[in-house]
Amino acid sequence: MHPFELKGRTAALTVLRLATSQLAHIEAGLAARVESSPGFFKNSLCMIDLEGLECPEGSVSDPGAVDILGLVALLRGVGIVPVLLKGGNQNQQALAIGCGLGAVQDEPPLARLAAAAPQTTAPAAKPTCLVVRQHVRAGQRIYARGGDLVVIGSVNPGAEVIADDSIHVYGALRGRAMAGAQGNENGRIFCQQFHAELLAVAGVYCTSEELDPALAGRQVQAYLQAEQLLIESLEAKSAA
Amino acid sequence: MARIVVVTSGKGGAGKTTTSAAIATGLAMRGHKTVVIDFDVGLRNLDLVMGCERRVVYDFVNVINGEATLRQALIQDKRIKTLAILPASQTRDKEALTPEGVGKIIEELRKDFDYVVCDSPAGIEHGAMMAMYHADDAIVVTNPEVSSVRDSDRMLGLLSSKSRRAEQDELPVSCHLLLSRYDALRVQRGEMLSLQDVQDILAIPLLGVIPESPAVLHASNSGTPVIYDEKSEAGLAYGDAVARFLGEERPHRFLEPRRQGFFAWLFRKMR
Repeated sequence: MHPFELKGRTAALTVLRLATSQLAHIEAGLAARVESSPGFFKNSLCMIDLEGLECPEGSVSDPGAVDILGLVALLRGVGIVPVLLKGGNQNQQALAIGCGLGAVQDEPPLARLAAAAPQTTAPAAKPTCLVVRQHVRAGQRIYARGGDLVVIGSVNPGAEVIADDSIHVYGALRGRAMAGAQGNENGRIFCQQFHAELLAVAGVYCTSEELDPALAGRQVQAYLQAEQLLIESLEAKSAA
Repeated sequence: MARIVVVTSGKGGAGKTTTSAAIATGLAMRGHKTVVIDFDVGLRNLDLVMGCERRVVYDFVNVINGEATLRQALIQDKRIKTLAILPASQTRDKEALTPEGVGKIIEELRKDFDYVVCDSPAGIEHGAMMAMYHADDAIVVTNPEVSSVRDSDRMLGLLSSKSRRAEQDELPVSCHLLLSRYDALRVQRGEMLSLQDVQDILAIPLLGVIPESPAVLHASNSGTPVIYDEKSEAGLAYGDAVARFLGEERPHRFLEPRRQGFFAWLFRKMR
């Protein structure tokens, strides 16, 4: 049994974009905010952004002048949970890491946040394929963990088929299909007769109401492109 | 070896009790020793449809609780010697049906009967699960209507995963479709799901198509299972279904709208 599950999830991350490197001013600003709404910062995840400070060395807006250790202590003192430092010189980044923060130079895209995590754990499992040779009936749910799902038969209305990679239905897809369940944006869904109630790839979903009625009953594939779920007929285009 | 046959549907009002009564009677008419059990604790109606409601002394729950023997609770059908009815309790709770209690009774019935027909309650809760647990065969009664098909599909999923045969990895429950309240004319007009539409989803062998018929209401009201009414299409269709269940080949008779002669139509209009 695998010791844990990795899920891609987006959480609210507050960005603290500094306008001054002076800790005293920052402290005052935080105190004012806490006074007007006491629970405001409690447990909020925070990214310290130094990229608003770009003025010459030595001035109050010099990013290099920010006392990282002091700032982290200050933030933790009001209940903020600093998790990332964006920007800053090598020394500051090292200090941040020493405090238990992450350090990045550019804005980390959400997808990379999710994908970065798996690499630090167990070696990637071999790709697998779960083959189901019967109709998936209403109320049944099939999950192909760590790989593809092939259904030789139909997926009935009220049934759910889920895979970490792709889903292939050699029959009618009338239920719900969710590919890329752990965040894999390369997951695809294929079926021979398209009547799905809901399709999703890596969390981006689309219900039957939003779908093109011309696709009903056809051989179709669905995939993610630029965070949009595209659904296309697999049949060769006839000459217009 | 006795066969345990559950008549189930998921959806309420599909025709389970009518079917249980008709099939059990049909099997007994052909000489097989048959018992039909009402699993609908609290909402019993098998006794009404079988016409024995005035002879109920002990019921299924009494036997499970040891308050009566099986022999005392079983009601002998007046019309056919080889047919018996085990009524449900009207006053108790469904929880009174325990898996062990039901199992013991089924085992006892297996010794004396060729077929044990279990009339399931509607839904997928305790009563329905108890009715289907010991089944060897399942007759899934479905109306040609979307919610009935969806519920029957759910029930088929449960039969393949929650029955005793599934849990003990034996040969799966043999499932048969009984499409009831079929109106061929409405199907032709596109107002009703066709047999093919239903089969596209359920994909199990077809036992029979029972046409919508006023004879069914008449049968329940008079306590005479509709299979006795050989003038009605429903009665004849049930007869065919029993034959097919026993392995005979019978063509499906009521799939096409009946062609009415002009005078028959005129007569109907004038009534």
